[in-house]
Amino acid sequence: MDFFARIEQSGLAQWVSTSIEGYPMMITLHSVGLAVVVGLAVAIDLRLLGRFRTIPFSSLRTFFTIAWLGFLVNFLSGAALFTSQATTYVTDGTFLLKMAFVLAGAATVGYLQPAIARLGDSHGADSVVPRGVKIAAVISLAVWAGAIITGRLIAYL
Amino acid sequence: MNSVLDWMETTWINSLALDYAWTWPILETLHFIGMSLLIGAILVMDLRLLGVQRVIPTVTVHQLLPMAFIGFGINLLTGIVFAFGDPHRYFVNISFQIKMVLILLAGLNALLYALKVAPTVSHGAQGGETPALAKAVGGASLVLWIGVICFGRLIPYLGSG
Repeated sequence: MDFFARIEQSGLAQWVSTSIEGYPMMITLHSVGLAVVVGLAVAIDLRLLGRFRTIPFSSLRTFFTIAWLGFLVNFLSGAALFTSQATTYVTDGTFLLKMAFVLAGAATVGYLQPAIARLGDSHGADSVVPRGVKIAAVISLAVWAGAIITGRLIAYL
Repeated sequence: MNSVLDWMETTWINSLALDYAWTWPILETLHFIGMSLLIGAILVMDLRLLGVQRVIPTVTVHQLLPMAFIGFGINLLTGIVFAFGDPHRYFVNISFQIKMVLILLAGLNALLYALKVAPTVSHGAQGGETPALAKAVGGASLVLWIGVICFGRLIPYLGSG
């Protein structure tokens, strides 16, 4: 625990926990990043499950890039928030469960991105999405929902 | 104003929000899910209006509207419960007030889209250039909705009266 106690004493942690702007700024960035990551993941998953069929698979590349930018924002803002209460979070079951959901969510996005690239330029009603990719899209929807639910509950449990 | 806020505290919606320990966290979680649905849909719509990935037919912008409306609907309903649950906290809060103004502006922007932009993009094919007004509406939508998230999240920290 010594390691996490020292993190809590760091300049970053002190700024987040004691300054007027630190915590509000980081938590606000974390909300914007959440909406970007999960929102685009849902849109992409729904496309793979047969909605918005006019969207060509090749165009999803841009939205994957933006989703990863959102993920980076949340990794950094989340790390800053973590430092302020490192010793508490590291033993908090709800927080650890959320981390597992976020890692699983990132893994589904990381799996779907090259899988969609392999689907090529096909679009329209006749576009065929392999069964495995559809299953990954459903898992993606479920784990992102899990990440939001457990993330919000950290404040309550 | 105060009598309206007092009345809000006597309603069944207020009881729903306060009498059960789990109402608030469940509705907050739904509020985040609704936010994600709305933002995911408008990111694709607005970026296409701005000219990103023109390989997407502009008609797709319309197909994404239900996702945006479902997200907004979830957040309107859950937001109403929050407002009735603690009216004296929200309506005097500067961050809440700014958030409501931004939602109003985003609504007017959406109206402008429906009246002036939608007719020009509703049967758009692949590769279509969007008119300047479509770009302006798309850009304004992105800025306004991100502002809504920011001021919504800042309600506990900014100017609580």
